[in-house]
Amino acid sequence: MLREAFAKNPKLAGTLVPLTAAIIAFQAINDRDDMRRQPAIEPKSVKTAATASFGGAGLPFEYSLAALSGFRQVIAGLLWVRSDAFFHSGNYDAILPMIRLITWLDPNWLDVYATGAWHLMYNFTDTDQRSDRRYLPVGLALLDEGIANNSKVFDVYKEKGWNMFDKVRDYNGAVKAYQGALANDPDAEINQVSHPLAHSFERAGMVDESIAAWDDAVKRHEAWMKRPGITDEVKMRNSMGVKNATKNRSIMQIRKALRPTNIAALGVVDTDFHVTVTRTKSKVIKVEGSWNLIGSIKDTFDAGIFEADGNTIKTLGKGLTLDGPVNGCRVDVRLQDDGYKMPEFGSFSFEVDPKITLMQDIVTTSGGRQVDAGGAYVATPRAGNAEAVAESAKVYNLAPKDQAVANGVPVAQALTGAVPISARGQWQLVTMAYPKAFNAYPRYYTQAEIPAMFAKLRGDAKTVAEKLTKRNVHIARKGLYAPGSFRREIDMSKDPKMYGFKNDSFELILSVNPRTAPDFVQDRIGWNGEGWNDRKYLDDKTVPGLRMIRVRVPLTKDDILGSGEKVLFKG
Amino acid sequence: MNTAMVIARNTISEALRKKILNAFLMVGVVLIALTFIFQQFAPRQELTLVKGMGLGIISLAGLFITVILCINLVPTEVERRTIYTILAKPVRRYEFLLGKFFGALGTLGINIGLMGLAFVVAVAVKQIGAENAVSPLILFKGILMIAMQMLLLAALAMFFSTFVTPLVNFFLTMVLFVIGNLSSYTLDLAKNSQVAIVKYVLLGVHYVVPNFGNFQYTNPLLQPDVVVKNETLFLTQNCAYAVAYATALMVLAILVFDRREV
Repeated sequence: MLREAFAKNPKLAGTLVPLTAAIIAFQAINDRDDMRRQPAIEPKSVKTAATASFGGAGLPFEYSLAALSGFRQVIAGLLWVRSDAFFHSGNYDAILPMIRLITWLDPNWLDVYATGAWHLMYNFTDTDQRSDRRYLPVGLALLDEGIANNSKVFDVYKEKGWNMFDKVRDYNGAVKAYQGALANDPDAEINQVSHPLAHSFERAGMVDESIAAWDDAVKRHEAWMKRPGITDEVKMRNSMGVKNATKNRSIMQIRKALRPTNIAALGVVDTDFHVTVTRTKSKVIKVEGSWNLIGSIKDTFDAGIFEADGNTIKTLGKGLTLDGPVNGCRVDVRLQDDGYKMPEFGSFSFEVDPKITLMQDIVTTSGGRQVDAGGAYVATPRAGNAEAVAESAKVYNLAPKDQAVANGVPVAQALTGAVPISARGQWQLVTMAYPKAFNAYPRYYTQAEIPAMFAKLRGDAKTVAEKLTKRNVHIARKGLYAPGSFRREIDMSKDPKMYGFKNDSFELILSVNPRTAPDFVQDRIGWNGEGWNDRKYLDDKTVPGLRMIRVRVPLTKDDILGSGEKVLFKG
Repeated sequence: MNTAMVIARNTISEALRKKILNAFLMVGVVLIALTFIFQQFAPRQELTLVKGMGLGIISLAGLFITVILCINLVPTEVERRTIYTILAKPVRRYEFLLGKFFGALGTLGINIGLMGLAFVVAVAVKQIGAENAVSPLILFKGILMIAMQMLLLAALAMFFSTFVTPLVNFFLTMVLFVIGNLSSYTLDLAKNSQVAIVKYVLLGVHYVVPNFGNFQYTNPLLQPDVVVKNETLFLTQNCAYAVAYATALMVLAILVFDRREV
């Protein structure tokens, strides 16, 4: 029939030749990989989805067919809606395969990588809300895949940077991720990338690089503000960014200048770290100990005077003016298979090795207290944090047991001469009775001012009653020092899926990393632990240049699984 | 050509009277409106979902409207014998066929245009107050690609309708639509195949079956951070491909229909 038609209409049939040539030409152009695989249209991972969705990942056939017939985003959207429902019902296990499929179907959906990594790295927890850290390399592999599929936008780099910083606490890794964002995306949001980059440098102990990063952030914000056609909102965000970055740069410069001199002047702290590890019952261990956690007492760090803009340093302060026991430094407790190292996964998979046992917890140090003979303390029925005004005068709360040791008298009695009040005690009373305004400089009374102020206090019965007696301030006859302590019972018996204890040998590692310590502790001991020492547990070899406190306790399977109470380590 | 246009106009008015097509249009519009139910997500995710679902729904509704409309245009006239009346007048066969085709395109244009408009308005409303919102007008690029895909599909269905029954046509067109969407996979399979005959069969399939996968342009519209290397080239090439292929199919259809006994 066609032959007859062609013969009858040779002119019309002839048009088919150029048309066919055009079709083949268009198809051939389109077949070139650089055209066909333009990232937004057909990323390479879609091919992986084509293979896996029919075979391995469990996407029903009709979904696969629909997905491959031009409705990829629709299926991805539907799966995302479904995974949200699973999230709200707490069924995190069900979300993982969906994330796998969605990122195959739509490899450019940035939110899915971010949310998926968050699920993996934060939401899988045991009964006591400890993260299942076996998922960390899996989450990182997902983010790496997201970066590979979206290498020109900053979003997934930023997510990886944050997870490295906050969850993995690999600050060098965080630096690398944030640098990747800046190098690949000229439109990277400065507040979300440059600022955390500077913080990451600081945590990695790279102080000069951190200052340089703040400097760079200021320049980038300023360049953004000069871009034509930016909205007021973007302008305001960058203007705030300039302010914050300048201030942070100044703070880093101050600390860089003052911390070494403070440590040299105050000497090295002997942390005297002690820990006892006890198995209380099968799969339950108790970790308790004490150590000298010394830091800058609340609000007593003298940064100096800033210019009116609050950023530029006008006068460099003295730095740490008062140190003593503080609360808040974390002791990391990690129980793992002996010699476990976090693996690097080439590609994201939602399976974790069930044989691995890995538990990590954080125990906070608190309760350190000190009072000198003739110094002030607050007598309280129960130990606890002192009020801010007392804390900033290095006045601690003492519970009845400590009060018996200090053997003090109420402040009103002491002021009549019942107990001698030391020079430090006088300073403490004056500071509590006549607190300086929050913006005064210097923030604290100098020793030269104290005699006159103390004389004034002696004659000011009303202030003594209202500011001191009412607070139950006492003056100690004897000095007292108690180090900070930590204690945590870690129950791994309720989550056998997470803690399988399949290996024969394990290690319990307790560590304090100065780089993760709060600023007020670093002000005393430095970014890298230069200002502390420990006779038994100082570790300056695991990470060169970093002086950690690290205790490694080897444990056998029986140590953990055995029944009955047993002290596993004391030292 | 005037004759073809008269037939096209009649085809459009006849098609728009068909309840089934209007039902698809209504379903499409309602589904687009329903995408507003995703209130539990962050605004950016919500917009991604709304845009993705909206374009998907237009595409899906467009697919059914195109296939159901085009497989029946010629056979219905033959079945009802109205074609005799038409061809008895000074109407050439190719004019009749082109008239039907242009009528189908007009109907599709109206349907996709209305759904597209509803969709763009819906996204614009959704975006009110959103941070860093991208102009909803760029979504028309995606709608243009859907329209081009349907133009090609309509030509394919029209071609088949000149010599097969509507039922066979339905399956043929749908199967080729799916295979055409997998065009890049057939090429990958051909490239990786070690068996020569399989390689050439796959290459043949890749070059002969219309490449419907080319018209998938949803992703760059969903993820404004991700852009194609050369958008103008990409869109122009796809439009030219659709027009060239559809023309070739219509030439073939005319040639076949010319010799067909009705």
